[in-house]
Amino acid sequence: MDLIESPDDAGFRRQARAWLEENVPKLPLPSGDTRQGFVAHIEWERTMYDAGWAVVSWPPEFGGRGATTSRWLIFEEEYYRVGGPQRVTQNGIFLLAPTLFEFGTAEQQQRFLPPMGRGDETWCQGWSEPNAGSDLAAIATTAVADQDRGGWVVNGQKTWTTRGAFCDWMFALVRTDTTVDRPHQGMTYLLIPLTSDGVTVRGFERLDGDEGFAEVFLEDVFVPDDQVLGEVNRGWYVAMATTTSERGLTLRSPGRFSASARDLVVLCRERLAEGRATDQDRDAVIRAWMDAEAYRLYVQQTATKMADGGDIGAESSLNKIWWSEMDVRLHRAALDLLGPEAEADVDRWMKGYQFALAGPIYAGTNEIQRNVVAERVLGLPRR
Amino acid sequence: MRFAFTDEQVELGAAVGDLLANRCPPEALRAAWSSDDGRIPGLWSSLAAMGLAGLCVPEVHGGLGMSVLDAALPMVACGYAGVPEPVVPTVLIAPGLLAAAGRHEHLSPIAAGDTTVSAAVLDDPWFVGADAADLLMLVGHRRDREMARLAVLVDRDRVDLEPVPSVDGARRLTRGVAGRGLGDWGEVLDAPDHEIDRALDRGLVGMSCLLLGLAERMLDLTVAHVQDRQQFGVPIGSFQAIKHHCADALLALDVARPVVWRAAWSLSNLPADDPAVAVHASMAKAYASDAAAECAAQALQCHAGIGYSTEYDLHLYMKRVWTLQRAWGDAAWHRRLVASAVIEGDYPDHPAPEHP
Repeated sequence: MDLIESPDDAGFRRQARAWLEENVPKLPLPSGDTRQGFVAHIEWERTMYDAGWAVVSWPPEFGGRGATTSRWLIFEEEYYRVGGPQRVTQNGIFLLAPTLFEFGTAEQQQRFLPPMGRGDETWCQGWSEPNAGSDLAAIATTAVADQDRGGWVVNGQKTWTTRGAFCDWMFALVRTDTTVDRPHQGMTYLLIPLTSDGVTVRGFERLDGDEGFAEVFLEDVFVPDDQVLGEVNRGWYVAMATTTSERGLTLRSPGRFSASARDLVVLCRERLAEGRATDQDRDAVIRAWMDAEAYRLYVQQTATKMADGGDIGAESSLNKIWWSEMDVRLHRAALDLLGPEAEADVDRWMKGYQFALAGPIYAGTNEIQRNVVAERVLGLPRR
Repeated sequence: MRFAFTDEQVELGAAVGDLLANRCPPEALRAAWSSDDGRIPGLWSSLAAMGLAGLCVPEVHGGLGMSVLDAALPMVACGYAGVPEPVVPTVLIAPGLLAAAGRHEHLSPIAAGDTTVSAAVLDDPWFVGADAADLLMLVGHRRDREMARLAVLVDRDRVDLEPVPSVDGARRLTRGVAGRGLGDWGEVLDAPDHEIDRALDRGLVGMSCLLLGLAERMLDLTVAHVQDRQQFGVPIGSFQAIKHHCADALLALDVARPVVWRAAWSLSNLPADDPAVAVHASMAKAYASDAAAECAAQALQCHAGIGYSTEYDLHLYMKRVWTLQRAWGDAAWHRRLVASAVIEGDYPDHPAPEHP
């Protein structure tokens, strides 16, 4: 065990810090979950990509630095330490890209990864449907083979699609075989341009009032064969590779929570100086700080496991429960410190609180994650 | 950066675990409850023979000269078995403190398994197993780290030891009563403050490892039980409510582990006067206490009526948790120490130290 950063890693940290301190926008950008803010965020993504900092874990030929998990964690820590903007490209670069690296053809990787990294093409996730939330295998959107045109004709509806109203492309799960015994079979993973004929996108407001959600209606939408990711009818298994990334490290690295926890400590100091923090507030604050620190250590342990060739697998569900519930506690501690003033703090802690409340819901509700932990980590019977 | 135990460290923990599976099964623990001294006959000499007693005693004094980090997994194994022996004071607290105070004559007997130590730590009022122990020590500081440290080698002739009951039948408690001055207790050891602090921190980490082991034991019992126990014609482990209890227990345990490992690493690798070590040790005790308490609570609920009886083994481990989770500072007490360092103090905002 060696918990000291190697000289090379420390050098990488300094390099990342120097670039970020120089380049991160000094004033906060408008929310990336609004139309105008999205555009500003994409510009920032381009700046990062052109300097080689947007996708540090990707291989250099796709615009990355081939960074190991440990290095990527260092980058994330530095990114959030200087208050880097939210990553509106995250569904592409953190969720779809790992799947493309694992299942995509060389042509697909060439075609999709560089414009994704640069923010020239933006991606949303088309999984949930009105009647398929936690029960993802219940999706009803269908794709029927069109052999004449060499592709698939898609019909159905996706919903709760984050930034769907602003994105160019959607990676979607659709049903391609309705005769299977088990609902997990017969699904296919498709890459669908939202500019296609037959696609209608309707944005709607999330809890925080931003137009961050969309419903996507698909009516006889044609998708060519070369936009199938992985094997036909094996989409569930391709998708599960992405959910491991999503629940595990890549969606929510510790750096973000460490930064929030430090902000919370600063807020607590201010309130203590004004004599407006109770012992209970102070305990909630230190709990949140310690929880963020515990998550950082937990993920370092995972990074070592991965470097040794291990796989996080179902344990990623433990990760997801921890960071999502910790984030809610952290923001609640801030609101409690603010007391009645929390109501008016709409752009900062109240906004963050509303975002945090989504954590135990998206990427599979925490009830589902607890089932996964019990069944696949502890080995309890499914039924 | 590498966050994993070495193969040798894992093997040492497994070797201790194997010995204890054989020598400290639940039946032996039950027998200890009704024995005179609350211990298992011959167990300490067996553990000493495999090196556990002298794990952290320097080689020149007959020990293995290992670090706190090396001792972590053997300590977890002791927790898992519910070992009713004075492992933490004897293995982790006393050797370093006695050496720092120049009292080397005790080290070889400790390593040989001939001397065991009972320590009253922080402001906890009692000794565990004082009658069976060879050395009694007072270690700590009262209430918080702002006050004077103390380390005393207790002179039994000057102290009255009054028996006190314990919910855990294998813990033989005595309250020490002596005059008001420290000198009334025995010999005040001449050790620098930071050495006393580190002795305490080693104790906290050892205690945290025991708690992790106990948590693991209770979770294993529970997972086995809910797969076996049938109600409504199916194993109760197939019910979502039971699954969620078990998942919550595992989550608490899994998050606590790296926090405890980090504290063990810091004690073994950071300078003895680095103030971060105390923060890491307090975090370890806070998370391990909470994790073990969570596992105990979920284990009892999942075992239901079967667990609510001394005829079933769960209580042997659960009651130990109830004692250790509050000994030497409970989770809230240690969070207050961390808060003083992080909110009011100057705990560094940047986590990763660099190689010089």
